[in-house]
Amino acid sequence: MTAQRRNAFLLRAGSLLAFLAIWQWYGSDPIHFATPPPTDVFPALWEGLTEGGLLKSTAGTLLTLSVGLVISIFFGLIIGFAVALFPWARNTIDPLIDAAYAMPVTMLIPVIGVYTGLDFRGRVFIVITYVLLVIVISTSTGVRDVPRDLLETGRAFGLRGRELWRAVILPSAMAHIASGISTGVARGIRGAITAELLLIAADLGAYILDAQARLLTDQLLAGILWTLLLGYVLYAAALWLERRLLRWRTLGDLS
Amino acid sequence: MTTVVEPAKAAKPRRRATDNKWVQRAIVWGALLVIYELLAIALGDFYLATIEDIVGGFIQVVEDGRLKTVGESLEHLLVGFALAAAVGIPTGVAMGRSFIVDSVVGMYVRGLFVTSLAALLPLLIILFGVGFKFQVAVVFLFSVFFVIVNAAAGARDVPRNLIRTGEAFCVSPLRRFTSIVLPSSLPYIVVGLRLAIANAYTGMVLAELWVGVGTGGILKNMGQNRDLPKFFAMVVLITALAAFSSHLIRVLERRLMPWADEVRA
Amino acid sequence: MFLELDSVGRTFVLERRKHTEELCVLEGITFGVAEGSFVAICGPSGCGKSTLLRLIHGLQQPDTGEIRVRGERVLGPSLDRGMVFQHHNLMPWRTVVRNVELGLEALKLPKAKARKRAELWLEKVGLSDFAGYYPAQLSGGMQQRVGLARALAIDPQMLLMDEPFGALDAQTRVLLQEELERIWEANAKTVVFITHDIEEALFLADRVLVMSARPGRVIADITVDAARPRREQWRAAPEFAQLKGDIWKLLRDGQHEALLEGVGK
Repeated sequence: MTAQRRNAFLLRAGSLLAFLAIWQWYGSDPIHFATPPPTDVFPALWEGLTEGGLLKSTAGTLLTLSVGLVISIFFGLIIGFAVALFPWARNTIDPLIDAAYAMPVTMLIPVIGVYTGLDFRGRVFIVITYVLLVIVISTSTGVRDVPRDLLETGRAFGLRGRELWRAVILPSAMAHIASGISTGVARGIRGAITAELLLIAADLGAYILDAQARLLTDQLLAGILWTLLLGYVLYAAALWLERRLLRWRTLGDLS
Repeated sequence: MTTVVEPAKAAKPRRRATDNKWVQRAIVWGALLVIYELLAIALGDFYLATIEDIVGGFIQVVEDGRLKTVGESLEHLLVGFALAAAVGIPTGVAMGRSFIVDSVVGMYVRGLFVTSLAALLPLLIILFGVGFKFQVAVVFLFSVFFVIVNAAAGARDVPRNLIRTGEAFCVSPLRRFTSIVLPSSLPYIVVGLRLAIANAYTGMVLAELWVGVGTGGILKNMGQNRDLPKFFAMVVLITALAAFSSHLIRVLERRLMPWADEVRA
Repeated sequence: MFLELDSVGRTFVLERRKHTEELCVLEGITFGVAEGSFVAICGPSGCGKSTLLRLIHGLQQPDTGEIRVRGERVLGPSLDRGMVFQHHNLMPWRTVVRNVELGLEALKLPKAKARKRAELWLEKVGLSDFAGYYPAQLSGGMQQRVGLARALAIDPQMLLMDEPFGALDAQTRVLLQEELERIWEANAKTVVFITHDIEEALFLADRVLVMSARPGRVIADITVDAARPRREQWRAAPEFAQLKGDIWKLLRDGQHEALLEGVGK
């Protein structure tokens, strides 16, 4: 391991230990009874995982997320391609997409229920509202931004229509699209958790709300910590997948 | 022998009416509005509100004095956003320039940036109560990571050659920071602010929905009472505010930095 | 001797993923430069010419040997030496005239004086009309001229130029070579000029030092006896072609060695 990486590792480990120490000190103070220290929270986390149904809740959240992601990616790609190919899109559709992206979709939660029902379908719909636009934007940008030189080269070598798409446009756009999907995963988990907290208590959201209602503070913090970690792990996995699929992009690093 | 060629007279390209972007917008947006209106009429006022109803709803919202509530929410937004900028820019730049800062702080930033901050709401209520501090804290958290991550990217990507040039012309390290690193990072910082402001609105609404006060509280009530004209009017209003804020920063971007190409987010 | 290099060597240590690699870039470089003379250093790519220039300037320190200016060791960058880079390295957020002022800021000249001096040098390189423009609005040749003005504005004792015309098209290159020659005639400074273009070296310099491929060593010191001022006719002279052939042969043999070494790996 090179000196730099070892130093980075040490600094990070040190930082983490410092954080845990400060948390322990803060939480141990009896005045801060609402924020228990790690020594209470981690056992509660373990308990939740082994017998408290935390894993079951996680599975439920992941299901909501997955269904929402699949639907968003499917329709997002289609709409994204359509937007990229529609000649007037830049003037007419782009401003609408920008405005929609700026909109805080959480605003719609009070009325979603009637359109989709409050249970699984409603939560999936919320995930879709979080993810769809990102896929559309990254797809349309990816298709639009194929370097002109590459297109010309393709045409110069006799590629037309579908072949041009397969050989030049799609591979080039893939980088953007893959990046959009990774971002979509991160946004999707946010959508799922928000839905489970605000639309109708379910899965991980329910776990947290339940702990809050029953004033089980160590379970509450355990649930929050678990949820935060879940989001991080999912995004890291998506990034890893993205990097593997797009090997050719990083090959330059090997110089 | 060399011959001189006379350039031919170029023909003027014909401009069609539909090349004008406002004509296109009129057509497409007009069509979308018509489709929506037909849909609203067909589904009835339990599911959707017609455009006239929404306009009426907007007038009622103003008469009910709701704009004042929106104004108060915006106060939380501005304070939280300003704090996020004040904390986020130095943190991000420090992360981008210093290996130590990046190692110590980076993992928390990147971790919290990609995960669900909504899960933190119960914890934030414990720490801050349900009033002003809570709402500012939520807006802050929702905005700050966008600022930090983008500022760090900008500070990290200062072209090495420019710094070496500063060294070659004996510019002091402090001045190198203020007159090379900062201007070079500025486009990224501004992009970060633009993304952050849109997210700030999300945080503002989320916090208020959770507690049931302010603008979020109003939306909640309207939704429960199925007062759709007023509800959609509010949604349009807030969306317009969020889009406008974002657009404002983009305009500022172009004016403050005439030299920069638009950095793609 | 104005500038002296004494057994100068430089080795880079590169951290690869699993191991560290040592790269000896320069070895045993020894030569002297008389005040007011124009010396060109010619060598194949990767032979360490740019590194050598940075060592002379003081941006890096040699691992072995010593570099002395007027008898004193070079310990760091100094405003006695002006540097012109291959990539113009102009600050994109500053206007042309503000870019020329970069070195003057470290000299702590009062603002009015600095502005006057910058404008003077802009005039000397023929860019007075573009003082208020941004670098991005200028052509490559113009950008390089700004870089030249920036280096000259600090009135250095020595001018160090790292393939300044390398990134330009052939025609612009020739024009700028002639312009540089004229400026140098009018403002005699000691110049160390790096290039891989043999014709450029022969046109501009009093002496051409030929370097080998990595690790870089000086393998020849060729005096160019042509009369000053140099004009177009020098390029057409038979001595010019002769010298060019000699240098090319030296370079090619050195290059050939490097290629074989690469294949052997």
